[in-house]
Amino acid sequence: MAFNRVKQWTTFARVWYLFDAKWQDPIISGRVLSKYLLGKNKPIYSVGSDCGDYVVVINSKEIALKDDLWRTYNYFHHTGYAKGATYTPAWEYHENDPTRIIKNCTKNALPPKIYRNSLLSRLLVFPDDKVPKDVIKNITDQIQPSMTPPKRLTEFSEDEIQNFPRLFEWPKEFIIDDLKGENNQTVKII
Amino acid sequence: MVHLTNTLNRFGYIHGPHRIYKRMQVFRFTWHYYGRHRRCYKLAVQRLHKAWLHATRNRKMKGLLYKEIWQTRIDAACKEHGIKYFEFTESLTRQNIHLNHAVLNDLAIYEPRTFKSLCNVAKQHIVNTGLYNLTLEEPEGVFNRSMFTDELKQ
Repeated sequence: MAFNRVKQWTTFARVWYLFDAKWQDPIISGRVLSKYLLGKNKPIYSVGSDCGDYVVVINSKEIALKDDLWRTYNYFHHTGYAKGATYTPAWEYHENDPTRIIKNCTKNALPPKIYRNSLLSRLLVFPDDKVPKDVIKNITDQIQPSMTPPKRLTEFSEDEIQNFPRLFEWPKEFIIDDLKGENNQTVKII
Repeated sequence: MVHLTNTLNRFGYIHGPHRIYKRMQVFRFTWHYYGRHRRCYKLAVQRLHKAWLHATRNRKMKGLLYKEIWQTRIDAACKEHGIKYFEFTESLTRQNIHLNHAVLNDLAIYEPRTFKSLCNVAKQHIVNTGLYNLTLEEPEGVFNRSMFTDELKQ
């Protein structure tokens, strides 16, 4: 066939994917992104062939860590000298550079080989949804996020709240509505 | 009893083939090694015997390593058509479609339309029997003749 040459180009061409990291777990999403960087989403995958894709991550400032990890999880660094160990908590690590945690999680998900840095160079992370035009013109596809973002209580309408299925109704003495009256001062909704 | 060969050999009458030919046989296998292991005979022989040991040992692992790669490829091809790997393989075995992993791998790469039809067969089987929680989604923007039955009758 005359078009075998073109088939070769199209199969090995790199695809640019978009990933919205809003309210996503970076540890789980790092495992997903590593598959796209390695090229495991294609049936032509092989260990030696360099068939990975580009991944553009947006809204990395609004990632959601599990449980109490913002406070408890520490990133370790050692200068090499005596007493050179430093432990930075995740919230401080995220404040300095909001693109850093999701990069680190994908790095940990990739195999520890020498080609890891070349794969990570194809991962472009942006803290906001402001992406330069040179990048966004290449994007053709989207990676489906693993977690569906939940709705806030303020986003539900009153009919949905009242008609929500419940097993039994509490007596009125047990109900303390946090959002009404003087109790509203204790609760802060950002 | 006369040991003639020893005496002749002592004075240089009988020589075997020169030892360079024995060494050349070894260096033919070690030309791509690093450093003195390709040059010096004593080191090259040691490295070569170890390499042959590894080769015989790892020949059994070759099939397993290939199966891992085939599984990742089939998994990737299944994901394009909205079905998971284990759902796909189990539904095929229940329908007595005994296709090898190697064959499915070749179909996924070189005959994607055939693989897509296999996926459709598996998906319809899962929906009919209720093996897994799976729903057939109709693609948007595609119109069938069955959609316009009422209009065709008029």
